Amino acid sequence: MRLRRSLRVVGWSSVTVGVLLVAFFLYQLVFTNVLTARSQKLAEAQLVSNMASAAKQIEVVDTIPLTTSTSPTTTTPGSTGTTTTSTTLAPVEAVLYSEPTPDEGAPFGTIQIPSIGLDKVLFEGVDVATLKKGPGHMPWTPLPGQPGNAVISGHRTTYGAPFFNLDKLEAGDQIIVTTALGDSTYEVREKLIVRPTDVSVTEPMPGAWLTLTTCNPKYSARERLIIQAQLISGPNYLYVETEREQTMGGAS
Amino acid sequence: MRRLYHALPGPPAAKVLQIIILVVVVLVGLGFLFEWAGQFLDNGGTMAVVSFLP
Repeated sequence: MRLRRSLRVVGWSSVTVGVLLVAFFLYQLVFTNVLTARSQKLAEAQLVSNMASAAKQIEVVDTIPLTTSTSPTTTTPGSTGTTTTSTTLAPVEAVLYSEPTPDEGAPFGTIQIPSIGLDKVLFEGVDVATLKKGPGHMPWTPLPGQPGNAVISGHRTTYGAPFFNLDKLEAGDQIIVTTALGDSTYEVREKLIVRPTDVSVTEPMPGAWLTLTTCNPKYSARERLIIQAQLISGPNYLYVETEREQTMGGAS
Repeated sequence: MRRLYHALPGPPAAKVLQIIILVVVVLVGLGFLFEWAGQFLDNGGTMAVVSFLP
């Protein structure tokens, strides 16, 4: 009688734990994705007005006079088979543009990684509530497209799992971040795995870089998978490259 | 469940209300528990967060 009662308690406890575990994984792997999909959809509409408003506040922060190509250059398009010749002026200075700092938690751009099919709205901030909506930009790092090291974090397996396939990125893959400034394209250079406390990956770097951080391995927050990519084109590319060349020239 | 219903004080309407409140409290509690436990699965991948894992 006593054994039967004990068995019944153990049986019901096991069933309860099983039901709770199934509910937990359903919540994390299904329900959170639904929440994030809804947030992304809502953010798309807000993003249009946020970007339009930020575009009106773009400022020229700095310029570097270019010592070469200050005279008009002539280009001859040959692909059409015609012999028309056009004359264009090369830029006489490299310009650094800046956009206003987005509000905490607000959508301010998009991130696209064609090689893994990623296309998400970007939010400002890496607090718990913001990352539930989508990838978030660390506010204490430069905005994407600016010189320095812009850091973006995102969930790996829950809340839309934007960075689920980040481990599949290889050197040379492109990451396109669109903000009010325009498209900034980065090329993957490094893939690292570090401890969550290793903040060295978020430190400033010469040039313009984008660092993506997410949990590693999948379904564990034990480590961080880090992708570091370098700016290869965008509104500030000429400025960044000119500054880098001048720094290197000055150093040698 | 039936035993719980009979153990609750008051008339049937009050018992139903108590069960509804109990269910809501349990669901909210489970929500908090799942959110906390979810941090072990995936905490958003941010850096400079003091790790609670070995």
